Amino acid sequence: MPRRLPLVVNLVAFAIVAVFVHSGLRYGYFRHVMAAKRGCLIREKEFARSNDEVSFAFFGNSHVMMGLAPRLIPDSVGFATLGEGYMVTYGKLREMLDHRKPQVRAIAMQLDLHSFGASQIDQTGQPYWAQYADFPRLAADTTRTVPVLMDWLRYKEFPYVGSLSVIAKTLSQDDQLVRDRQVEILTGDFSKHEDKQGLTMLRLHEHVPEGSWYCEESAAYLRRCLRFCRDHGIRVVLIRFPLTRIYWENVFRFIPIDKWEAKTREILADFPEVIVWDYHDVFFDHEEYFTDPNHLNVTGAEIFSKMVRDRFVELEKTLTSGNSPDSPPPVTDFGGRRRSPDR
Amino acid sequence: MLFNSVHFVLFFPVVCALYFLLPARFRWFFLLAASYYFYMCWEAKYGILLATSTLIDYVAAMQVARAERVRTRRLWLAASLVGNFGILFSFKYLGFAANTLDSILSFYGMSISLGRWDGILLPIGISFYTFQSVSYTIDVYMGEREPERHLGKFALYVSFFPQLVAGPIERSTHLLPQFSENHRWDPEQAFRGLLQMGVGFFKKLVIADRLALYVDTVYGTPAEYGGLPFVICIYAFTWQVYADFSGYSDIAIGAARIMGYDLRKNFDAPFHSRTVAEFWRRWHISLYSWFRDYIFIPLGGSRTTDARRYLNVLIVFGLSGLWHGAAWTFVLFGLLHGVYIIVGDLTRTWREPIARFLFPGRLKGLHHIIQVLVTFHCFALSLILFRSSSLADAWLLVSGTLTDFNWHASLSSTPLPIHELPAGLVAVVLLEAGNTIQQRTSIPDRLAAAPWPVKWTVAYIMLFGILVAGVFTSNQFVYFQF
Repeated sequence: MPRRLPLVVNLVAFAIVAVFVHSGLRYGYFRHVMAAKRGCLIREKEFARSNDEVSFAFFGNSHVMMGLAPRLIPDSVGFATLGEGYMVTYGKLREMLDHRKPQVRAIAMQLDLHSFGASQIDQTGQPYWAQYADFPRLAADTTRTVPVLMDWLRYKEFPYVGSLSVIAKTLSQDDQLVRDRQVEILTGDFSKHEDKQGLTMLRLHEHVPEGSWYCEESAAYLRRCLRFCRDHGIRVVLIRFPLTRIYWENVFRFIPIDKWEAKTREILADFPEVIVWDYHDVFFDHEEYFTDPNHLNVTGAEIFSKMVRDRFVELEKTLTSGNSPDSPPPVTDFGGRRRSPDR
Repeated sequence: MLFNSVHFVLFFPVVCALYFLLPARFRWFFLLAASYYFYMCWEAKYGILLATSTLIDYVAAMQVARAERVRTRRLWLAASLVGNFGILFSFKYLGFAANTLDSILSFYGMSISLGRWDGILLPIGISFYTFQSVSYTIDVYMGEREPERHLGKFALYVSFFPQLVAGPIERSTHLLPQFSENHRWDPEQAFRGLLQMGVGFFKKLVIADRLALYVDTVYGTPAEYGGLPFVICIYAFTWQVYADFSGYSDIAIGAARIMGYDLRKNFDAPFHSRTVAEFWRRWHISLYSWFRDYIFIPLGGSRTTDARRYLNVLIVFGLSGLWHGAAWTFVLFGLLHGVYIIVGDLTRTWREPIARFLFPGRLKGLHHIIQVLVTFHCFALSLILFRSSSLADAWLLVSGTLTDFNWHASLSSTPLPIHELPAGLVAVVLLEAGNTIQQRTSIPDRLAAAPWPVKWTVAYIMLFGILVAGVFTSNQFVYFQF
């Protein structure tokens, strides 16, 4: 007859093993599954492998990811993901720069018209982003404290819960099909699209659902990103990425541009060291550079990356010459190139 | 509070720990408080209904026992029945009755206002605890048991949280005495309880809620689908409702067992039944034994003429359909099963010789399989009535299944969650394999006797298997609406 262990010993031992199993599943899920974000995982590995001479890191959303080609910009690495808001970027900055790459001299991020939208903050529901979210701070900032804490448990601590279909999808996915799909997206030509207006409205409805173009939390996270970089001596470049004319002509229905500019200036007033490059209208007459109304295709990305390459090189020279982050920005043309349809 | 919620995951271990830490004499009070908390998490004010039902039967049973005259005893029994079923009718059937009346009157060109009844929220589990509470008074009236003098323990009998909102519907003779026993922590019982809870969660989260993704989509807008999606939906819902309800029963029985209480078995591999009559002896056992003991037998049961017996069957199944919900679809669902049983009984005399002729000797096994399949499909088809929101939707499903044979086209229109079905199918096969083994040997007994590494391995596989494969959308249990 085997000797029976006391209940407490049993429970503790069972719990310890359970924690190990849980940790293994969690690690495996973050590292190897997350089918929808496998591209991010690849980029993350590239980032981790990049050598110490990296000067520029590109953070942010699809505009950064699809618009800036690190291979064309010296000493740069891309770390942007589709649909990423400032809240997630802030978490990634902390994780990647604070702990791994403090030698990065500057980062580039997007300054989109929909950057301050509520949808950009409600991004804790994806394990990939959740791993970078600072949930305690988020819970303290928001009135949705309990849901945010539940998201913490659900997506950051137990990401594998209920993930059978995601795992199955990952195991069964054909990498060639995935690559083909990516190529299809990257090589799309918006100028040949049959329903440009329809697609534009669809994008706008996605980006600014129900007109919610501004949310204090999103703005607060942009401030945090900027403050974090300032504290770490990292220069920030905010880029307004190229848009198609049709997108620009329709965005006014969803976002009051003057108010957006006022809010942006209000934030940037506290961060004079931040550099803004405004390229939103540079390809107004080149729909063939876009895969959809507001995302560059591979041709557009190459041309755009070459356009900004010199500015990055110039910036690197400025930074290596000992210019402190507090000194006046070398280039600031925010608003200087703006064109509205009625002009 | 849902069993499949974080709230319950926190609630249950705390209740269990405090229960065993408390001196035995305080436990009833603690469990009563925990049960009312459990119930009032949904809608606090409906705790009053639960308390009212408890008081009605406590007083009625005491008076029944005290009364010497038969007439007085009957009056108190009637008071209990009127009180309990009056509450049930007011909250569950008044809207249905008013609507039916309105339909009849509108046929004659008249109308009544229905606005007052539309907003009433159905108190969760009211049909379950009403039947449980009433059965106690009837048992006292019938002399099956003495009345319970301890109001607190009686209140706990009516409100015991594991089985409060979806059964099993307990009998006072079985459950009430257990509240006076001193339950000690028993690791073996706790392991069995946890195992049964694990099976329940597997059924609910891995099977039922996964299939619900598909079923809810099709039944939500049946006009958009046809043919194959309907056929898949009929099978999927059959397994969903079984896994959902028997899963709830397993969690309830397991939770009670951990605390030392024994609840009645509610399901016994019903899809292994060879006749519809057998099916109802293995499906929702506690409800159908209630109807058998308190309706069918008092009506004369089987010891009467064939015609009267068949009428009794129709009455019982019609009422059981109505018990499920206040809609004609439910009544027809019940009556259909009554018809199945009557037809089965009428045809038995010629079916049996034919079966002996067609399936002699070793082919009996094949006959058995055919019987099981026929019974299963009778039930599956009846569930169209059970799940449809109206008779028109039910007809749409039936006609779509029988007339739309362009299955390739209809498959392409099938709703998105189709990819969840293979996983659901694998889980169903696992469940039925478990049921088949369980018919031959007791899996819990064998596991309880196994060494701890085996137990732990089973526990980890079950725990993490459910976490990974479960669908965590906090779906209510199907039977909560009853």
